Amino acid sequence: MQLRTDSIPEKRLKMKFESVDTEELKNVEIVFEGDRAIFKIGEGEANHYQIPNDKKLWETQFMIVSMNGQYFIRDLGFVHTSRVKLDKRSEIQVQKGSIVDLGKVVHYHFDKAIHDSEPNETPSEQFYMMRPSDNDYDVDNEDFPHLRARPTWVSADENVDNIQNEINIYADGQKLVNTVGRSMKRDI
Amino acid sequence: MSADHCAIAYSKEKGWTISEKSKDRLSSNGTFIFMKSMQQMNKHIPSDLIPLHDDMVISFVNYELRVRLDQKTRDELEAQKEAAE
Repeated sequence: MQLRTDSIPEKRLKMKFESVDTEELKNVEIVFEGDRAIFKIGEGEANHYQIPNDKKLWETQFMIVSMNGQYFIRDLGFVHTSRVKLDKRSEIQVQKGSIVDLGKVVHYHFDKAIHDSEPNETPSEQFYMMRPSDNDYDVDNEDFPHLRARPTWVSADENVDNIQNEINIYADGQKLVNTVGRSMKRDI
Repeated sequence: MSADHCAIAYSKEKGWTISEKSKDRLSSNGTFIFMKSMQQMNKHIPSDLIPLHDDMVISFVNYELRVRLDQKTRDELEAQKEAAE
């Protein structure tokens, strides 16, 4: 059965494999016209696009949803969750509970995100949000905004001593941007 | 992790954000943000519906997909609407 979308998008969605495990998928393009409500991708045969014989993939790894003339992605990955990669154009909101992979070396879980007021920016091509419907921001207007993260996974190739055990960032008016990296010149 | 990997910033409008946009070139192994929160992962529930934008890169396991949104022609759109009715 094909679930109809409520509005056919004016744009066609193309997703091109850029980095792959198997050469046969290199530069392959998945095209979705948005003329049905959902389009599933995963290891299983029941998907609209199947990537067979990769046991790291979940039965349905993620689905694309065509709704109100727009495209959305919903991750269904069970063991390996899907991610969005940072590019040179955009920034991504970090919320309480966000997990960030830095260079495939360490995963940080942001377990505290305090704001001085509720953010109100809407998602755009320059500003991505992983939980756009979650407006449950922790607000404390009597203290500086604060972000805290702890590592949840470190690559076996990495020396654990090189990994910062806890990241604490305060937006205290002196510094609103903190750089992250291996260089000693970086803030974190 | 690169010497200059990414930046974390705060603004009233956007809240806390992470980016690589002020750099000359991207970090060599990339920065990725999980679509699911820790709570969603632990409870094995799907992620929210996340809007897709042109040029976004989706990563899963060892794959990366670049998103393109191409304008359909008027004829293509009309044909798809007719077929759907």
